[in-house]
Amino acid sequence: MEYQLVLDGEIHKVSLEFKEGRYVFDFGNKKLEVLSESVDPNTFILVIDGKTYPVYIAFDQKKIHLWVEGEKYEIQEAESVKEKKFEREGIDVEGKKSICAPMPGKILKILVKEGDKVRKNQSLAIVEAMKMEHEIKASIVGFVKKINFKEDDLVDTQEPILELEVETEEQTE
Amino acid sequence: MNKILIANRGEIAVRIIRACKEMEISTVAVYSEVDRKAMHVQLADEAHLLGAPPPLESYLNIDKIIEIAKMTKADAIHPGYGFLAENPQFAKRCEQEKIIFIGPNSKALALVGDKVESRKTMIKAEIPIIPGMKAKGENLDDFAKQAEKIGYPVLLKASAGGGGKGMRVINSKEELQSSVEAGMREAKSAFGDESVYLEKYIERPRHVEFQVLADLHGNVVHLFERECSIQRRHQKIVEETPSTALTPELRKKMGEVAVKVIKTTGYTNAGTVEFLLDEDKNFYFLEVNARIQVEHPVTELTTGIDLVKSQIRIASGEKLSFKQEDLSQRGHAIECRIYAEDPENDFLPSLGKILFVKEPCGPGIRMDSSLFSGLDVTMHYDPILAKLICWAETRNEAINKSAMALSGYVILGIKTQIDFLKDVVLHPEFATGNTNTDFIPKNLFDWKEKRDKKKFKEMALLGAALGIMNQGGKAVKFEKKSAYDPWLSTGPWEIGT
Repeated sequence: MEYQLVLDGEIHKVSLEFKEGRYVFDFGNKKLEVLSESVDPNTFILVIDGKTYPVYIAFDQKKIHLWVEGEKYEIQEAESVKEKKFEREGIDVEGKKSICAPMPGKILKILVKEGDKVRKNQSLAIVEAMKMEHEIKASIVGFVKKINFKEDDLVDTQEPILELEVETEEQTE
Repeated sequence: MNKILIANRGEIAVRIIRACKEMEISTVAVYSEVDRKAMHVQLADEAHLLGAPPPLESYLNIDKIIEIAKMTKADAIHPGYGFLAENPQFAKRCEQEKIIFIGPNSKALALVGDKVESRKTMIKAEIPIIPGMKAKGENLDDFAKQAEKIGYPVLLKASAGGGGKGMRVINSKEELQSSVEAGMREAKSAFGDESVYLEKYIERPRHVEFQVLADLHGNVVHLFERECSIQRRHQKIVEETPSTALTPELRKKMGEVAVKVIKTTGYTNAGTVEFLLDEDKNFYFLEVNARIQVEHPVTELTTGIDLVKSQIRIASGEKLSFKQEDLSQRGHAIECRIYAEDPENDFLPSLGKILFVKEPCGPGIRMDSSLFSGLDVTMHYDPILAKLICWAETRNEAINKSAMALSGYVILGIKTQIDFLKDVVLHPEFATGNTNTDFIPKNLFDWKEKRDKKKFKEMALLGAALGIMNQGGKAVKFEKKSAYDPWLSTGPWEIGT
């Protein structure tokens, strides 16, 4: 079986075969022979060159969560990653920039109106979760193009709270 | 006392239920709609719904909690920490309804809870305090004048509470307005009281607090100190005892002042007297925390006294069964607080479902936790998930034990700051005991950039492939939805949202 796995934004091709009681992994440039003992649906033990590694694994709707030797990994299958539509920090070709909440939470305050001019680092909105407030600041100089939410709305980190339009000529720095 | 209602959630509710079980006292849990499956609900003898998730409709809903206490014929209410723990109206209401409030009497609670009033009392009793406002700020001009008088930098604090909520360092006049407004909003949302005040900001202090127990018969003892200097944004993350900063003489002196503070205020039950210790070892009274503290286990492990059980005994009228001279500290204990925060994303809250959890155990390792696989971590409450407390004969061994236990702590599904905590306890400066409140900004400000590169990438990829194969070729059912919103989505697995 071939798998295309995405880890930290990079696609890795891994092929996996089961031969004579062993798993053979091929990373393209490297092959590994591994023994695996399944303990429960979330736990298995890998034996590589005589050394054992407990691995914990769990799945949600988007990702495979793994724990290996005290390190945590989140891995996605490549096909699921294509769906991602916009980049959080990116400015698109029309010079628009979407501003998302850095954490899911409730919008306490929106400090700007559509059409407002904003400075770099100007506070745009305040989001609250777990009793902590977080100010969302403008990362560019520009205008508020569109506001998608109102105060007291719940937001996650994927839907833009508002959209800014870049004003290039005034850009300082 | 036959039955106790626990007006709280999370690990502290679990901790209290465990103490009750040992004492053969029945327990009543209360819960909000998102906490139907919570550990405290699972463990208590009975559990009753409070209401919608927001605290004001659930864990801060005094009428509803009293109603359940009466309906279940509970003799007493234990408020835990946070929520109603330091709310004098609630303590008073319990007194009126003839329900024992497991905490200080309402009069002492009102006094120590009002940081401004308690400062006045301390001045009279000649307890050393930090220079600052003698009253709550009324308007912005008032704050501006006071700040000038005290001299920048100043510290803005909530009159009604602790835990860093509402607290802000203000370096200049320009920052004053936005900080005061934000501080008031945070104070209002956390404590239901927006009063804030200013005091002199002491740079590079240590935060050292003394645990006290005071019975209803005038007996007061202290159970030594806890060093709580390791903080992020005024939130404690690692606490230990004994403090590396105290000599036996200083410990004795501070302990005596702590007892004097308690006697001066007529305080009863368990409490904590907080001090700031400056670099010249001058100490200043900060406040009395009128509750069981998050970090109480380190005291329990080094003194052998169960503080929650002591609280219950004191509230039921028993005399303290030990005197000051009976108490001593043995070994060293370190607590690490596990928060639902993403250290790689500026420590912002990390919400969602805990898919799998495996907690460390072993000799001298204590987990105060309410986690289980399948628990939903929601936006409504404090980000604290669990506490890992390690005890050993020496500080060095306690550090190693903490690092070992953190390394074996598995939480999958949401982000936590376990990796960060490991780097705190293994930091060479932590080993020297040189722990001031600027420890994190000074030593770990560039943690994200400097942290060790992950070593087991291949193993993880291999594990993922194996996991998918074992699940029959396709592990994850990908939905068309662009985002996973833990509370907006109502998948078939989600109950109570």
